[in-house]
Amino acid sequence: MNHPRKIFHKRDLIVIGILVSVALLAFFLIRPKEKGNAVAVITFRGDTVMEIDLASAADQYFSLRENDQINFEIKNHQIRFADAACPDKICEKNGFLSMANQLSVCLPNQTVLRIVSEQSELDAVVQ
Amino acid sequence: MKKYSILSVLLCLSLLFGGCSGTSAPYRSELFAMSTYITQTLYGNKAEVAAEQVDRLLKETEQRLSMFIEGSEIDNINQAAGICSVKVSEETLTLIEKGKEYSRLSGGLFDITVAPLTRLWGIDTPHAKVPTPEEIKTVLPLIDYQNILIDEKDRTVKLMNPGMALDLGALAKGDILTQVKSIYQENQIPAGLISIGGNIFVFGKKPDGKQFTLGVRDPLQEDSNALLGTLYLTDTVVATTGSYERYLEKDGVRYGHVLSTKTGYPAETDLLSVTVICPDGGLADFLSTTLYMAGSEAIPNYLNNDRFQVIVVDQDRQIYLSDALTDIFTLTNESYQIQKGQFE
Repeated sequence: MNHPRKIFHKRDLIVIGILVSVALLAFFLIRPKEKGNAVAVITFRGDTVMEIDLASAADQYFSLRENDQINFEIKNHQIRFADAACPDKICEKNGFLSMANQLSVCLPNQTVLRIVSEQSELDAVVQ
Repeated sequence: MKKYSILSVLLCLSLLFGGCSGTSAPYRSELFAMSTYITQTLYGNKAEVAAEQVDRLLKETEQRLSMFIEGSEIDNINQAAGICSVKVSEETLTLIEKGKEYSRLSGGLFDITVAPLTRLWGIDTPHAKVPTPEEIKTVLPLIDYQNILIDEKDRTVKLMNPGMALDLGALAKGDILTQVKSIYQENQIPAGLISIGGNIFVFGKKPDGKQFTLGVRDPLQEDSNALLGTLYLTDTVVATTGSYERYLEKDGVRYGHVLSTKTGYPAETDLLSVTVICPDGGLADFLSTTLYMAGSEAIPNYLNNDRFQVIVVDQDRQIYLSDALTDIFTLTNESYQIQKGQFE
């Protein structure tokens, strides 16, 4: 008498279970960030020192821990160099940033404020 | 049973890797060197390696060419001005020769010996000031590229008069892009861009097949993110010169950083900005500065050229484009108008 054929052997089920677990784990660990959220990234001398989700950020005024002569302001989910100890003030003149890939650089203090978002249509600005 | 085992493994591997397609994010890096801010956005497996090699190249170049670094080849030449010749590397000699030739071609509008004047004004430095007419009168005779003595055989350079000084900063930033391009090619980088103080080299296409989109700055806004329009480009360099870049404001008067080698004061031009698109980075940099200083009178001769394209903005908010750019430039700012036909 023929036994009904099993579609999956027990060992197959174990292998499938392990691989599905690994796949799910990998999916949550390496998936890209949600698109659309504008994140302000501040770098100081090449190192990222702050990342701020502008959508949830409250209005505030703060200094960099690495250099308290550099002050930022967040207002209405936008961010700007509010006051920086530099001779040219080019960073302050850029005003509030909120759009993807907008950039403000304080060259004398080697500090950069950049808005990062996956939704940007613009790769760089010639200037 | 073995058949099912193989099938189950394939099924699970497709689950594992299926969600990863189309997310090839670029590698990004930033660096402060050559007195400016440099960013790289690179695609490909060796993007990080290539970016590090480029960073090393830029730092080495700065050590060799910066007039502000004691002991650099340019500092040595400047220190020996009016005294003796200085031996330099082949790369430095070639760049000085190129700078001297560009100075000649521009009739002295662009002059690599302008450093004594830029130092006097000090725009962008803590000691920026409006010099007195006497101070300017003292400095002007020092600015003359014809007084650079180059001995190719001995690989030496001498500045003929005491007080003369070379500044290759602007030229070096554009010129270095040729070597940067070689590094990207050696590392088989399929696409990317590098911005050296706003001068951009862009190459290849992004993984989604799209070209890079570059914004062209609105020259009338202090906000460097305010745009005039956008450009879709690949395999070329884009350089811009405008009075908005850096300036000194004193008693309600704005003094731009582009200085006239004839008068000693900021260049008087009827243009707001000149953007040059050209595969040769050094030429793009040189042309954007020179055409900006030359003003609208010079533009008709340079509007349509086989080697480069231009976007010229005048004080009446009129934009003049090379014919080759009409399909790849999009005006996004309604306060400007693209002029069609002859440059007036």
